[in-house]
Amino acid sequence: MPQIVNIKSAKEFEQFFKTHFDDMVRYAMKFVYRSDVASDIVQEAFVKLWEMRNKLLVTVSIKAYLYKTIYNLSLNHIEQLKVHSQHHNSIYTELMELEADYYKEEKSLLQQEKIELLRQMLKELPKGCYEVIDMSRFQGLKTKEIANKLDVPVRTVETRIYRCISKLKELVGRA
Amino acid sequence: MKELKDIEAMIIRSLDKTATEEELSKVKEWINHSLENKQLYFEFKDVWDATAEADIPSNKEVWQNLKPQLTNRKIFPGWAFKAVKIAAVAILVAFTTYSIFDYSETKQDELTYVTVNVPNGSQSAVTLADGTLVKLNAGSELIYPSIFNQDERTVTLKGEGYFTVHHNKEHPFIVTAGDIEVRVLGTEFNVMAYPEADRIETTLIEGSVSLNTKGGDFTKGIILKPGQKAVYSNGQMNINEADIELATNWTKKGFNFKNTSFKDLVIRLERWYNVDIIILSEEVKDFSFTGKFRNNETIWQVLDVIKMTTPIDYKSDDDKIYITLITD
Repeated sequence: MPQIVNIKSAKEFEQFFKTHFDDMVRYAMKFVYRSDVASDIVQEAFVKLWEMRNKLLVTVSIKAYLYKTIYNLSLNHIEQLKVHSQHHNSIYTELMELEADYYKEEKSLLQQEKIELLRQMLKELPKGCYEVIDMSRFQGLKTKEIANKLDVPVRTVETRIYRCISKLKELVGRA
Repeated sequence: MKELKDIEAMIIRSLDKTATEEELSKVKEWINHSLENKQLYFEFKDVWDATAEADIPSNKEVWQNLKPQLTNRKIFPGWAFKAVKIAAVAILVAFTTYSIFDYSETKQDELTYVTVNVPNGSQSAVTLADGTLVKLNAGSELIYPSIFNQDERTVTLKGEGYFTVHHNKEHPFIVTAGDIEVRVLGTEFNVMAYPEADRIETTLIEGSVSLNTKGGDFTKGIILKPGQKAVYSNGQMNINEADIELATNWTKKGFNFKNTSFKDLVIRLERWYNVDIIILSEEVKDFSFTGKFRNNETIWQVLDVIKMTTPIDYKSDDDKIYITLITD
């Protein structure tokens, strides 16, 4: 049964916004890659929700409505990118389109609210994994920078990150 | 084995944004190679994205920016939340009474039912025993009892019908279409419920109707006002302002499209002209089309008009029409 979000007052709307903003931005970033663009899209989705409040009966879940709106707005953004994109950007745009198409049928971990679970599963990872994931994902370092810090070849870092993310994917899939 | 490792490194580089253009194309090629690869890549990226400590702007600051855009102080009217709750109950009821519903259907079998089938390429109109007039669009089916001797006048619609219901307060008129029920006293409305379409649209022209999910409690249904349209899709009901002309144009021997997706456009044309149309390029399905036809054009004239505004071409062969994307 989908969860029904109950918002009666401006205060609750603000609370709802603040609770879900980060996850929604992460979700939009899947498609548009940039956090500033994603943030704009999420804001627009919240404004839309606001404007539709008299016309729309959300009978399933406000969150599902927001995710759907964000998805559609992201698609619009990719469309615009396609029109303006220079040649060397076109493969990224193509990948974006492939990904957006994939999420028409699939749900992301963020929509499944699995992010907490993911964080917990980090503890289950083999030693050495936490180190590279921390540097790559939390500190946002590029593989080259990690390789410099650890004084190992870039290729070793790439392989290690690949193994660790795969392991994490397996753990979350099983849970 | 070496190749597999190469792709692993390239995947990391594509996510890390350190990949060269050549590596990116290879990743794209690899993704498109099989469904397994595609699934693996996007599941992998999903974990990658979900673990990111991205530089997400502070929600407090964003809220300050957003707040002035929300002009009205009162955010959600109370009724909306009541309606959400009611709808949730209606859906629950719809699920729990599903088996009972099957039973009541067999009980009504004592009545004689008439089925009207309207083939593709034509339209039809039926007057029911109570004086109700139903215009049926191409490719539709209506099942109704030969006499209405029950408390409720119930008919079943697949496809599209325009109803002018004879007023009778004692015996509500109910149209069952897919997963929804439209309940009326006396009124004019249009229901579009083709099984192959992904939604059911109910447009109210005059009077008042209430909508609920099949088997749900109608006293808690959603009430439509004249000029409104209810769109039921993926278990969700949205109420919008209707474009009456657009919704009822077919009854006047014409058709009208407004931001209609190619997928839906093709379904309509197939039914209207009794032809088979095949879209060969996936991209075309997502295009949309806006335009009006009077229905005295041939299918070829219609396709030529569509060609003027959309980058498509068509050819015909063996009674089938093939639509392709023009790329340059």
